Amino acid sequence: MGESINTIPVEVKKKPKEDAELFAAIKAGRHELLDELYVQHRAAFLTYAQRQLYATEDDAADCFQDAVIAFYKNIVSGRLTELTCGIRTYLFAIGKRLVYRKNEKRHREVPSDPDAGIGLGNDPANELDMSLLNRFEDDHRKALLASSLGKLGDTCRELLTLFYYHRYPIESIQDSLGLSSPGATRIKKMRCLDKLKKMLNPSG
Amino acid sequence: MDKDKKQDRIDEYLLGKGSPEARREFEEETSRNEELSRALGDTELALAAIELAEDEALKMRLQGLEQRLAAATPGSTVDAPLTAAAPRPKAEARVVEIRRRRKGQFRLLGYAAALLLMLAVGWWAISQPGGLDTQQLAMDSFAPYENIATGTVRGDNDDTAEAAAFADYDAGNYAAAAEKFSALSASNSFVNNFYLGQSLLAQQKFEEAARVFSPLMSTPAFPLAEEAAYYHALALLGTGDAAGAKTALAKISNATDHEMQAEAKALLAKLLQ
Repeated sequence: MGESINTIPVEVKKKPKEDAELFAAIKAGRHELLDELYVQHRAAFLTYAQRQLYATEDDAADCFQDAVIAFYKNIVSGRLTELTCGIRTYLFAIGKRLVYRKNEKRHREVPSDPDAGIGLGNDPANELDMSLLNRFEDDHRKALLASSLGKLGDTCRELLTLFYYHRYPIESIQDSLGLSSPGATRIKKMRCLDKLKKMLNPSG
Repeated sequence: MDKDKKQDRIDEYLLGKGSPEARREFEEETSRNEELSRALGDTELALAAIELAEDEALKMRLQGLEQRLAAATPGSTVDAPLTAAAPRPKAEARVVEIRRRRKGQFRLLGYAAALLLMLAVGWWAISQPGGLDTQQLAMDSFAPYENIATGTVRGDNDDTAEAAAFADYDAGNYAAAAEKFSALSASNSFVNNFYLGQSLLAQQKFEEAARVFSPLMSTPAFPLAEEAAYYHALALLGTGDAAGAKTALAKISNATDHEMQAEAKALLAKLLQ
């Protein structure tokens, strides 16, 4: 039998197995791999947080989700350029801090954060800008800000998110959104940004 | 300056690009140029909106994943050979409570058992001759410490020996719980031993309880060490060692910010009457 002429050339992205490979792939923009990361380490973290930190299952899961997001944001922002420990160690270090913080708020009977306020030796969470974690605190103004993006059209929302959040280069955004050229993508980005600015500051 | 170029410079600055010198230069220019400063402020606000919206979207995606994982593995804190499924559409990724903890009914049973236990002790004490009944006083002041070790968790399908011990504890089956806690291995021994001590106290096995609490109260790293100290004092009282109990309770009462200070003071006042 000859090769089928109907074969569609689909790009099959293989799933990275090793930490370094996974890290490199996420750094290169494959943020869908965060799901893999979550599945790989979630059960271990939940067990650890419940047994060692006295977290409830819901709190442990919540903190682990935030830890994965913080990990990702550290990569795209350039704060974390290379892995100096395993991904699990990194995620656990961030997640642990978040659990301590949540426990403190609930005044649970818990061990206090032994790392709080001291110079930390080999703690990978050192590389964290802890202000990132504060981003997860709720408040009304933040909710209003977040909802404003949804009022833009889908293309504008995706374009701005890919450029400013996921830090994709203009050429990749052009490919992803099927725009005609890098120049057209830049112009579209400017217009979308202006639209968002006007929405947030109508008098500006 | 061309509007596009100005925005490119603002983007570079806010995305952390450019050399330290270029960044410093931009900051100085911003402090002198009101229009540039306003444009920077507007872009910062827009970036905050983008960041918050995408944080929220990522969070919802992971919550959806968590929901599916937890549903696939009830009692889900064991490693399971699952893979990530496709992200759920945003509109559906709402957080809902997956399962309620069944511990509530066990806890009620536990409270009922504790109440019965106290009533029985009270009846026994009333029938005793006069003088200070240290056992009665110890049991009057005792309520089994809430199970905070297993949280809402290892619930329904957790068939480990540890889970079985806590299930008995939650249900108020203190004899069975004590037996199971005793048989557990050394892993997490501080926590398990704390609840072993509780289970022994509930059965008025004061001497054994005192032996169990003693090493726990002298381990500062153990988060329930202060509670263990109080229960150790109760156990001492139960054995009839009123002097030892008074000393231990006075120490707790005088400690700064001791978790069991109020309880210790109340019991000490009764002892000194």
